[in-house]
Amino acid sequence: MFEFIIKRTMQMIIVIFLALTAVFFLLRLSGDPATLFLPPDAPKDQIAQYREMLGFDRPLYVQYGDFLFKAVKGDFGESLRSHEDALSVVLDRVPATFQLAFSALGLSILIAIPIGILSAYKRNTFYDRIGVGLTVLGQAIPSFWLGLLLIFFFAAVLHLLPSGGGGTIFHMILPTITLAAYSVARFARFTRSTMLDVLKKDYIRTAKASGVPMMRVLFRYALKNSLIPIITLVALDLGVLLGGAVITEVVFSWPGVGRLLMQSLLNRDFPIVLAGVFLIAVIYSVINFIADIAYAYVNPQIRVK
Amino acid sequence: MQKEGGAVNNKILEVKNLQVQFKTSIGIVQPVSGVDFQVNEGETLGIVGESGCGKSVTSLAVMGLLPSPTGYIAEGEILLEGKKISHLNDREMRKLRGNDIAMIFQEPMTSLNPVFTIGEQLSEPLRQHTKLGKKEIRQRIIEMLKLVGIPRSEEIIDEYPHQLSGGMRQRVMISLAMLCKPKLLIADEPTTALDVTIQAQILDLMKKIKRENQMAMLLITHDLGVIAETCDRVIVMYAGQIVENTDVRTLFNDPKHPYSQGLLASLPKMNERKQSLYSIKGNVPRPDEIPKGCAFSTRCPHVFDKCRTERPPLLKLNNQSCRCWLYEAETQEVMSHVK
Amino acid sequence: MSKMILENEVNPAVILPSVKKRSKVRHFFKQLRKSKTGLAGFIIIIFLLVLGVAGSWIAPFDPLKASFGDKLLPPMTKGHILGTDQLGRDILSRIIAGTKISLLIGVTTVFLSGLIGSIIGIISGYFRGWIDVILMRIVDVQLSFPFILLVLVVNAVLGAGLKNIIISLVIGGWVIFARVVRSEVLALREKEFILSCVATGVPRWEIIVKHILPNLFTPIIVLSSLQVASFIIAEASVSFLGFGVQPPQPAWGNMLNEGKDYIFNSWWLITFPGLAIVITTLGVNLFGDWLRDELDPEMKGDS
Repeated sequence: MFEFIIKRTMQMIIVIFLALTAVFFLLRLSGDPATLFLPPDAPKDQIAQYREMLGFDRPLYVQYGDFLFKAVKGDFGESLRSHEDALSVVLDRVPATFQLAFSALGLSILIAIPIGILSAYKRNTFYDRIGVGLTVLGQAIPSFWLGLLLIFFFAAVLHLLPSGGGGTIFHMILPTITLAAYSVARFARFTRSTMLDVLKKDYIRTAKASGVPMMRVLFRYALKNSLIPIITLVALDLGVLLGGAVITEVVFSWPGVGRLLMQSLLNRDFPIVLAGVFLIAVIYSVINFIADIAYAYVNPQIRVK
Repeated sequence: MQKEGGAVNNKILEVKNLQVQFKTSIGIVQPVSGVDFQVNEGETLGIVGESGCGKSVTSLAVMGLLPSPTGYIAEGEILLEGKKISHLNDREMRKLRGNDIAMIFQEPMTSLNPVFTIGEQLSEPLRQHTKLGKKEIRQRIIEMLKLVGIPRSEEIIDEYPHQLSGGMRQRVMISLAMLCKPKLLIADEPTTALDVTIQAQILDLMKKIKRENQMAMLLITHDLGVIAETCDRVIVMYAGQIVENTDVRTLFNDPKHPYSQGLLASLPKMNERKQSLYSIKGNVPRPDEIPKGCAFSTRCPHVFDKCRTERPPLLKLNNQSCRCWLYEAETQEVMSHVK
Repeated sequence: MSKMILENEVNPAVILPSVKKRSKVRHFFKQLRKSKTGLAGFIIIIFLLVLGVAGSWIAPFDPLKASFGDKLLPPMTKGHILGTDQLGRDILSRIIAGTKISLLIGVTTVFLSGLIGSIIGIISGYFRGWIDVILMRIVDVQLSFPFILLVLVVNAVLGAGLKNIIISLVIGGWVIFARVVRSEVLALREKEFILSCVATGVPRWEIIVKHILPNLFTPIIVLSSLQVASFIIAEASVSFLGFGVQPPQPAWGNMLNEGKDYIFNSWWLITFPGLAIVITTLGVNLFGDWLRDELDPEMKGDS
């Protein structure tokens, strides 16, 4: 178990390092950085001056080394808009995004797993068919459209909830539901099919042959066996959740990293973009790392070698 | 149900005219069509037959473990110590499972849950059927593990199935079954998935346990060697019906049904060299493809006209019952229903 | 003894395409008719294809023609079945025009990312060694970033337009093909029929093309069917956020982007393009699910 953790940590560091490199070259590939930072009609000597000031006239490997060196310290430069430290600006917004993402994650797990379990148990009955139908539908609805519809109903028509911004619990309701919808559908579907597989297994037959009641079989035994693939899926879907958060934040004007990233992309505020991309890569890697460790812990075949 | 042993030859399990049906996408199939047998206290009854003959389905029916709603008992009765159990609902059957009737399965590799310790799984029958406290449960488990010949039983309790070998796992399965001292043990191909040397050990263990507890045992297998080793009586099944019902010695010395004869002839004999092995021509028919008349008619070397049109009943002969028109003249006594 | 070896050698898992093709097609349609959901999905897809190809003849109005006098008309007025948008353009016609784009993007990106991903997966999985290590590290890095964000950033950097959105999606999408194909190849390599090919000296390229490739068709098709929907939604999302396909060219995503400012009074601007996305995704998913159940018998029994 310990060696597993060490191995995964090394992997994570390599991945982050490569992500940084990719981010650096992405910027360079998108064109002459100086002209990107300046308005399109800037005079030539101003461009040359800017380039020298930012160090873009140095050889590429020097720039790369410099970038890495600074990035590791957390220095991504300053926002072109506000001239604040890029990384700080991004970090400021992280809590809001986490709030949204984790609420949505919690909500989806809470709803989806019981639905999935009961659906598997009552397979092919009326309830199951409705459940499956809803999940198929849920995976076909794009989150931003759902968000817009919810805004229309609850804000425009019913005047119950605010249509945007952050701050209160009420502001969080609609974005969380929007973000969670797709995940609920996916998790429920997956839980159902995993449970169906597990319920066919021999060891479930053994439990029944020992006289264990069905509810206990379902919620103590089958569930624990299903947890392993479910954890894997949840970890994988966290990426979808983070990506979805970007869109949801834009729709609801929620003050998180996603919305910041979008605005910076539109404004060509590249230090922010770089800092944001880097941070997201780190967060995502860390989450995957934790998920892998959790998976290894839950699965005794890895934990007890 | 009382736990004390009764008189010898106490009827523990009685199965009467059991018919099991399955609802499938191609219609209703009947893997078990009219099976009658009984198992007495202290006796081992073997059910032998090839894959698909219905022996496993029969055992699942006794346990009430038919996959519902697809599988169900269409007709017939199953009686445990004289009391009918085939009509019980799942909750009532649950009280019997692991308690009065226990079952061990073929694949010890997959029959134990990989994410729970041996101890956690073994404690289930005791939790469900007794009121023992945690400490007592643990004691019982340790004793039982010792009885089945598992060394270091106190450590094994906290280990996981993947840490044990196949033979050890099957011993764990046996102790799981025996914890509540069942009256009837059903063993479905208990040694098929094990190495030959381990097979012998497990069979010896089962015989010992049966002896010590005066338990009734229903042993299902396709392996005649296992039958010879462990069983007192044998029934031979083919295509969902019993074709021969006799004691072990008679089966090996004087099998009457052509199918039984074929099975025995297919055994390679240690002391003879042959050019080729005998095999019964053809294949076991699927439940939806059973031929008209005698189910074995398409493969029988002694087949004649009546076999193809009328299904033979189970006829009682001197030492055995046999479902074959060949013996019609010998007796008029019919053992079971014609189907 | 020699007879026994021959019988073990030929593995029925290897599909010989030419022999089976004709009867497979007929079998395909027969099976399709049995499944209500699969059939529904198939019909939706055919319907979309028809719209995409013949759209410009079917559409009642010119999708690009603005008419300031007819701004924001509700559905069923003046011949505009689904209403008009903020520039007076007929929404139904724009949706039909958008079908072509969505289909084009969906099919092209799946095809390209499938092609690139599969080739890389085969090379990685079959030859192993350091090339495998490097390629898989790249895959890991890329997968360490959420798909939509990746597509978004790449697209923002590359600039707007149809070509660029396709490139962005392919860059984001090849990795999953590479990973899946690689693991399939890894499993196939160890199978007996491959080992016997190697033992009898069949050249590597022949093994890959004649033996491994045919067995990859099913997993690739299954994966593609899963990915099409993701790509369609990803493109819609990116266009919605202001990148991707730009107005005035009608794409469902950017129609939603333009429409979102008018929800409070003119709900039809966002409802119908959104519905189009949902129906398309639904159709693709239903058909893809059916296809998966048909091709991969192990996964049957799910619903």
